[in-house]
Amino acid sequence: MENDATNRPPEEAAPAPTDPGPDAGAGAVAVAVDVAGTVPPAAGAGSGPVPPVSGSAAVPGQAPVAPRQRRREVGPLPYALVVPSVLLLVGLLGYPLYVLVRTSFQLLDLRQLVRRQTVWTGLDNYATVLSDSEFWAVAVRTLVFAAICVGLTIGIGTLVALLMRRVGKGMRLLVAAGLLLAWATPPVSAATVFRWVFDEQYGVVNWAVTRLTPLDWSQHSWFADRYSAFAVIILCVVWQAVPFVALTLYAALTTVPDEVLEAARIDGCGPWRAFRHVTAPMLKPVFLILTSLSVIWDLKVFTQVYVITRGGPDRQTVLINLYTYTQGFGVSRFGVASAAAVIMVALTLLVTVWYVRVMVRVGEEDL
Amino acid sequence: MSALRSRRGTAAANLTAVVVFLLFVFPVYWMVSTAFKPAGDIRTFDVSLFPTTVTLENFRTAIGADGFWRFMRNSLIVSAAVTFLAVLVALLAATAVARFRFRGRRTYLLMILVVQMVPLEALVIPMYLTLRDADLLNVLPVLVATYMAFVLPFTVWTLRGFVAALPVELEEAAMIDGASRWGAFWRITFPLMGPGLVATSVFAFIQAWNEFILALTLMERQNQTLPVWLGTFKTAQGTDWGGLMAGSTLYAIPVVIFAVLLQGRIAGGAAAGAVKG
Repeated sequence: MENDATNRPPEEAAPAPTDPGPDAGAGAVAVAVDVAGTVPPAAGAGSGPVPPVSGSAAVPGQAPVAPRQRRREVGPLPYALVVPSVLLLVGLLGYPLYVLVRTSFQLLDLRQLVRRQTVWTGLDNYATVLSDSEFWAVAVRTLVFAAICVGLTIGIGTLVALLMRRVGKGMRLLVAAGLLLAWATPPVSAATVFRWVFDEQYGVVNWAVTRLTPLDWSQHSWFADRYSAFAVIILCVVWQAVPFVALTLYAALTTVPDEVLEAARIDGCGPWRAFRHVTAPMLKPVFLILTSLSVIWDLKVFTQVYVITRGGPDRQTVLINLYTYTQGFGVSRFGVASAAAVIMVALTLLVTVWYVRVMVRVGEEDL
Repeated sequence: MSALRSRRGTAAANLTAVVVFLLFVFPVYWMVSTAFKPAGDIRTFDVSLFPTTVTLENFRTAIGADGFWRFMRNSLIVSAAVTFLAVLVALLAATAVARFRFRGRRTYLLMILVVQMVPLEALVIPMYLTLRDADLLNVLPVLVATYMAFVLPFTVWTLRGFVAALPVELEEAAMIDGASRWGAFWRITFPLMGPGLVATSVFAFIQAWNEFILALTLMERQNQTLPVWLGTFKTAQGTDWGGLMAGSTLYAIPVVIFAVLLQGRIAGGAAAGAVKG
């Protein structure tokens, strides 16, 4: 009578999806690391890349127990339990989304805002946005920015995870502790620190460059040039995003059986080929999930840009969300801002569909 | 010879590990060490990597800054309220999806997955407009409600994992022994969820504590939270890096403590013991 839950694919490696909160890869991603090198908790929570070894509620040597059907007729109880969250989400996310779309069809400048007028303008706002050359510059910039951040995050994260696999326990704890600190630093603190580290007058980076190289960078301004300003922002974002990726991948790496790697080695695989042809394919689902999550997070970076450069120099580091923010709260063109935001949401939705498809295909628990 | 090579490889790996550690820790170290340096050691290009004189002056400046305690209090209240409410609501939902199969369950889970990804930054404008029309801008409880929008989905998902990982057999055994369904859940499953609840709460708290853009746009001066105060902190005579780093440190401390606590608590999952025997 119990467990007539259908044959599901075995639980495969997949980290629990977690939302980082408002800032790309920086917020409360459920990274939190068991420094002893076990599964990050949320990742370990039921769906860890490995059957959690010492993670939250682990059944040793067994995949987390999937929920089972106990009775056919469940009655109204589960619905009653789910309703509060549904109502809250509809009210707190659904309604604002509706207002966003509605506003995107309205003329809502300062004048209409103050007089509380509703002026419908059809698709004018979209026409305005799409014919604004700054919008296109911002859109391309945001995509390039996200691509660089994701590439660096996944690349460095993989290398750090492999390194943690390679070294002994003590060194692994050391690396994990460093990752934990970077992860735990709130984005605003992190952005402030990066501004200070790269300060023109007293920054430690300029000091180090001046001391260690023949260059005199004692007054070098990182924020006067858009590329170096972006370099600082990217560094800050990646620094906070790598821990989640590295720790999740490390946990996933521990699921690759030693025998398989041993066999590859005996067959003459070098470390690179073993990774490329054995480890990477086995971890493909994890890589896909981490990549799609990173894309979603890095497309919406706001805090770091706001705190580090405010979009400067000369609005050259404005990303899509700062663009929307300035159109709205800066120059009070809320209709135009809404249209831009709708485009941003649509873009994110595309990536999200990809992400959800991966999650479902991977057989993430018993969706 | 190959042993020699592998020993050399190990040394190189260890060295790399140390370098990686230093790179990741440096910004945090620099924040804290700057916070303890006297102004003269900060405003100079003759940088010393280790503080030579230690002072609490910067912390006094930060704490003494106008409204610091109020912003700290606002942040604490908002984050605690969001955490409590989100975990409460999520616990119900997580139990439902982890323990029952019902029509719409899959749809619900997919919705939670998708909804987690909605960029909040895009919703700031409609939230602002709606609250403005309702005359609810600059009200702390309203900020709590808006935070629920992004904390709740994540909390449901995470808690669901924890509930699902607890063996349902324990509950069934209790029910065979005569406990009601509610009694079985309350006396058996709920206590085992301790670590999961703690972990989820901590994640929820951190998210709320870190939130920036909603507080920035929906709150005015006296109702700001700590990150907004920090992110917009300027003094008349240029940037006071010492005070700023002290403020950043104070603001980061709760999260760092939580993160460390979290990994300690999580490791010894209670249920592991419960099922082992």
